[in-house]
Amino acid sequence: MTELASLPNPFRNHVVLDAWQDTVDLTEIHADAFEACKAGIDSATRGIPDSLLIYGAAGAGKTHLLGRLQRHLSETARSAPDSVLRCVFSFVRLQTSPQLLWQHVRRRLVADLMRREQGLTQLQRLVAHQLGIVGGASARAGLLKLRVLRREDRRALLQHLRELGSKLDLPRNVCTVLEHLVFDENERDASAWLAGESLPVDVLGQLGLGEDQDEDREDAARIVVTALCRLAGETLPIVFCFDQVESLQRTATDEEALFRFGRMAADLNDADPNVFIITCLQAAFVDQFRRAVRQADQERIARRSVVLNPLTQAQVEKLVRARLEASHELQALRAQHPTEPLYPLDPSFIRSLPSEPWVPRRVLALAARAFEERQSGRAQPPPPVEQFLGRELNVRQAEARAELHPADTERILVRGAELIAEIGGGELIENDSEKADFVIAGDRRTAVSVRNEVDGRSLVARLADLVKHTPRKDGAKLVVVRDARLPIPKKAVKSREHLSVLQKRGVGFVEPTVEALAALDALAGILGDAKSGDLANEGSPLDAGKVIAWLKSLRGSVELEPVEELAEALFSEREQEIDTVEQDLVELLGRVHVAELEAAALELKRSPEEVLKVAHKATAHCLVLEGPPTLLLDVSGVVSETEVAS
Amino acid sequence: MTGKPRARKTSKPRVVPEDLQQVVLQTLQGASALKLGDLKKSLPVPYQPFAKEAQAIARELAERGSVPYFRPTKTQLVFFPEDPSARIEAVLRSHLKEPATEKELTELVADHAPGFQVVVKPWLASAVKQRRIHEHAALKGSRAKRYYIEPDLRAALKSVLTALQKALAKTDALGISREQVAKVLLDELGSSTWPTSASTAKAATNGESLDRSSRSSFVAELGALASENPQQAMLSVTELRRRLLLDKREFDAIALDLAREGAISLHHHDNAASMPEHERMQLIQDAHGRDYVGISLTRGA
Repeated sequence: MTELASLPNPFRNHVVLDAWQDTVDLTEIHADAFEACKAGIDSATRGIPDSLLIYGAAGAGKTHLLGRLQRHLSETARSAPDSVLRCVFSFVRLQTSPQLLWQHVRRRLVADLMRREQGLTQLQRLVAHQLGIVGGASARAGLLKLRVLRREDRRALLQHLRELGSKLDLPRNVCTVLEHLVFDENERDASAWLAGESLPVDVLGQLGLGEDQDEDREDAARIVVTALCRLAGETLPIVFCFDQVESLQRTATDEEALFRFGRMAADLNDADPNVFIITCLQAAFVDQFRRAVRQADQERIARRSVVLNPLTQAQVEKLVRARLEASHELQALRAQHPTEPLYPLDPSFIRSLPSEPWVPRRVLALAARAFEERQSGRAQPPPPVEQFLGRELNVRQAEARAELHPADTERILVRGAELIAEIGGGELIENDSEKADFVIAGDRRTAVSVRNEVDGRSLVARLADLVKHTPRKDGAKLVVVRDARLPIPKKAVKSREHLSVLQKRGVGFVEPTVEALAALDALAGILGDAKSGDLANEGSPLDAGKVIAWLKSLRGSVELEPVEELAEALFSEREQEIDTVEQDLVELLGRVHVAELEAAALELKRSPEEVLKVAHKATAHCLVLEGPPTLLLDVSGVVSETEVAS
Repeated sequence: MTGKPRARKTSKPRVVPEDLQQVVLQTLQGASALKLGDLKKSLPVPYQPFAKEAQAIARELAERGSVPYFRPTKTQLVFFPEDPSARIEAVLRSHLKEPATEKELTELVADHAPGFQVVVKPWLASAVKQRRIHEHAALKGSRAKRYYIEPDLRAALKSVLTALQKALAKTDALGISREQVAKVLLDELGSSTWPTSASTAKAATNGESLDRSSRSSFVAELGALASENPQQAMLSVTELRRRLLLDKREFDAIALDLAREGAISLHHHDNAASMPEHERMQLIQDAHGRDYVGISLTRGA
């Protein structure tokens, strides 16, 4: 075992998936593209709208470049004498469905606005910036004013926010939520609303918000995003970085998705002259993008373009050296070999690389393998594709399971519809004329409508709409999907009535398990990365076709079981009843988490025997601990862990 | 008189480092135009005591063709990181916009490929012979010859053009249209239509002139495509191919040559294998089977 054996490989983690990710940066690489980004921000600062299209091969460093821009903006703000925000930065990885584009942008923008630095969120800093400008003072003075006013003169700050809202024609609900967020009050709920989550009526009441009754959630998201653009653009440039545009496509020939992206980005461009849009696109999509996106939209979202060229040999060497030099663990060892700039790699490593074109990801992957070879004394072949994908699935599934929130269910299902169709052997049809979220046409036609509203009154309106459209004109079976962690409360009488009507008309009701959602999210993420060239096995990109082939090979396996069960439930001929006692029990446990059987029965006005029977059946929500006294535990969302424990 | 016994001079045994050849190779490849006499200074300090051995290795590498070099005199050697002739040609193709004197060419190369200018003079002599560059008449009041990538057609056809001017005076007087004249001239040249890149390619009998003509068309059309799309840093190979109507092999060869010379950059398709064959055929394929979908002019090209 060499002394290298225990050291971490400095070349691993060569796929950059997020502009907020910290990476070793070599500014010489793609310096001209970086300058083009900065020029765009300068332009937007002067109120001249700008946009930039960045072309590059898979692994050429598109996301890495956006990360450099994000760090540059943060560092410029931090190191400036007044330490104020210079630009609002939002990074949007387009791993979503084209139907949910605006909702996705809304969620990402709000997440980025809520990032904190020096105790203040990006949103608070931009309000502070405006306080300074409006008051005729510096941005720094605005920052101080915000800190002071928040503590000492609430009324003055509220007055300013209201004036701003009126001047920028911001919707009332947006203004109200901004007030909460500026004062750090009800931050969790206020930011959840701003990001587009459905909230219970009592929470909406606490926030002072009206009901969420917008018919079209996409349109509602567009209104909020453009309002936030106006808010930011009033005094600061706002940069949107769109990455992985290709992953929007359902199939390799799907131009509708690119068309929709073009429309959305062009609208965003029009929202405010201070908006600067950066779009990253794989070189391979050059023809398709031009065909699919309207000329008028291209003129707005691709005013300029740059190409990330392959690396020169000198850049390759510098890239490898930069990684080695950044490794603290290697410092002492490298100091013993001052004449070997690539130590511990072989001096001939650069010359031994396969022929050009060299892209950073590929070079780093090869360096990682060479490093491992030095560590273990033998060359490690890349893992077989199936093994690599299986490992990816496990890692991503575990991450998804830990982070999944009921608000994610709609996004996961709509985005994963392509996979559900694949597993169910059907064809996916979007843009349903009868307003279902998606339709899968296989042996029989199934229309899926995700009804995940938490706010009871919004749910009533949407269920009533479904009742109106049932039975469907195309004869498809309608299936209503709702997150299992969102029981329909006992007091939501009207919603339950609508569900009962729907059930009588043969509509199915499916509650996907957390396991199924986590697996579907992980699989859709893998497929999305493959489509946008960001899925690489040791630096070699894996395309969507390989992922689909692997998926087919998984049929009947444990890994795919939760998703197959979900697909089976969606396509099932069986009547899927909505058990109101189960809904009541889930709601009760959601509130109290642990309940004695007797007390639960009393609360639900049912016999203990009946409640126990339901509790045994509702394994996704309830764990029964035999007594005496018999206890019922809320396990919604933690089903797999419970099973493992038992 | 007896003095202290003089210490006998003994030379330390010289152990040449095992990796000296690697170090020399890296030094030569990493430097821009390195004279053999300057090699010592460019070596890492621990290797400088072995300058003589390093020079011998450098000569050997040059003789084996492992590193590009130029021999300005019998004893001197200058090493380059890439073939100096190819580099100079690429610079001139990209940056030379009109005929220039040798001095101007040297300055242009010094600007765009520092160090390579020492080779301009000898390169020019051989390049003219090989018709890689063409002599043009000196400007009025100057005796300095000028050079350009394209031949001076007007000079070559000077007597023809003079005769044509005289003939046109007569044909105009007779009321013969210029189109009619052009048709006769084209018939005389053995062509019934205005030459297109494709017809030029077919009409050409000499392989070299065919290449040059197609290459010129390629460069001209690429330039036109770039000026029509000033906001697009990367142009579509499919679009360019559609406009040129060149044979696939010829189109691909020209593009790959220009990329090698540094005049253009080609951008590969990561997953061309998944494309339908007819679409894939529109891309450029290199000797390794790699497909290129995008093309861009390099800076200043």
